[in-house]
Amino acid sequence: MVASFLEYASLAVAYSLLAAAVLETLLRLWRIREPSLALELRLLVLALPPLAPIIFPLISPDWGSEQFRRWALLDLHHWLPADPSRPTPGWPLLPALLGGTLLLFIGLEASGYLRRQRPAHGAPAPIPLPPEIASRLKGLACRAGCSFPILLVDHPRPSACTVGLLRPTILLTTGLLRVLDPEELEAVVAHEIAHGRRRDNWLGWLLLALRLASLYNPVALFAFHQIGQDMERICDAEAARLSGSHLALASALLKVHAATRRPARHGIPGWPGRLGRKAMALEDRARDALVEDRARRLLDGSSHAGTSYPALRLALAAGAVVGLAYMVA
Amino acid sequence: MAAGRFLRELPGILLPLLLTVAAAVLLLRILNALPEQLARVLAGPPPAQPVLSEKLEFHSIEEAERELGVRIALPAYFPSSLVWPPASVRGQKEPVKVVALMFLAADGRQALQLRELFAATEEFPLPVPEPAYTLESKQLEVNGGAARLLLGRAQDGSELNQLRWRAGEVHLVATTILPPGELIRIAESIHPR
Repeated sequence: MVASFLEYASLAVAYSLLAAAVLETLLRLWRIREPSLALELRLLVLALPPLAPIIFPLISPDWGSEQFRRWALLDLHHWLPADPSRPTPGWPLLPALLGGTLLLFIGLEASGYLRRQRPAHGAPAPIPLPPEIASRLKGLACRAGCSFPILLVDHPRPSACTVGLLRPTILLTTGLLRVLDPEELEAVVAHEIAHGRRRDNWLGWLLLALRLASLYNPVALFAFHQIGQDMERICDAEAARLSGSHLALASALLKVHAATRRPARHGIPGWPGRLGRKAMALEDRARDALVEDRARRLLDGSSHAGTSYPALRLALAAGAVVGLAYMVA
Repeated sequence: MAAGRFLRELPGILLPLLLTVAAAVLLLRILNALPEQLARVLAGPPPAQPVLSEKLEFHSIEEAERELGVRIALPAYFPSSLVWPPASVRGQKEPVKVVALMFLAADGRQALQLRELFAATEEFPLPVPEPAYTLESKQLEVNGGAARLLLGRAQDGSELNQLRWRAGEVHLVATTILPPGELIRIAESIHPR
């Protein structure tokens, strides 16, 4: 049972690594800036590990057999043989990989939960939007052809999010209204409308389920983060189109980021002081880079730059990855 | 128009793809071979195969016995066509003690080589060369023990026969130009102590 899981886990990591390496290389060589195509390609990194062991034996019944392994491009039994008593380089690496992935998961996921500021007495009650803001946002919703409820909550942290699976609702904080001007606020709400229209909350829950099922796979963890960033970039492009002002959205992004960025010396609650500060500094640097990239895409107009023949590129890249993965057993 | 644009852009799509796939194939092949190479490097060079060197040269059988600390068994039957004492007494101490006696015929040809390998092993402790061409191999008994007779030819095509057997803790190999009957008779007259 344990050996079977380890064999599957090592195969899953190998497939994710192969897919990520090939697709990230292609994204750069093809100079793809279109986030929707990048997202579709990166979904392959997540989809390949669970699907390949089911599909490949259907394509060829002797896939994975000893005879097949003789001419496979990579036989993982060379690294992790079925008999763990045989000394090979893979067995000492496996605990290191699993331990490293666990630390990575804690660093990437758990720290966020630990750091999140929660209200002391449940969720704050919604308050009415100022009339001039409400009328402006209503006009935006009409242009977008949707009627998502927009609620304002009293909280000093500038933030906007879309919640709800069946009926998406946009939540804004009073802190956000204080930081942004009306045009920037409209751009932010357009971004949230884009999330709601794309049903990103459904995709978010699906990704969360996949994330929990791929705890052992460090490559998949990174892919989840990249897909999350792609979702934001897609909504940026759509928001720029909806609101008609990509400059306002870029400005809003930078303002909100500056207002929510805390000094690294605060550290992460519950973490040992120095480690917490270092982890926080790392995460802040990653957020800085993401916000900078999103703002630059909006300013240089590449957020909505199309790629020629996206379906062909997607099909070719997927075919190449699946073909290469088939030769790994 | 659209077809022309497609044909213009196709190399820009296919070339990076082919390069990436080729690099991935190469990397996978390297990864496939790496564990074996790593294991080879970690294990160090393979242990040297024991060989029959017979580098030591002695003036007499007694000197060989003294130097190697062994008792050399000699044939009680010694054909009159051979010259006594042996023309050369050679041997080695490591990894196995070996003595090789070369007897000449009256006309000066090398006629009989008697090798004794001192090891309490079931199999021959070292690889001992066989006649260049073996025409026939026979299993037989020498003094109640299993023996193997090889009937063959030397490199120059002349007759060369060999008998291999074990007597206690000594492995013996007699190689000769004499007929097989004489060879067996010589072998049966050797009794290591």
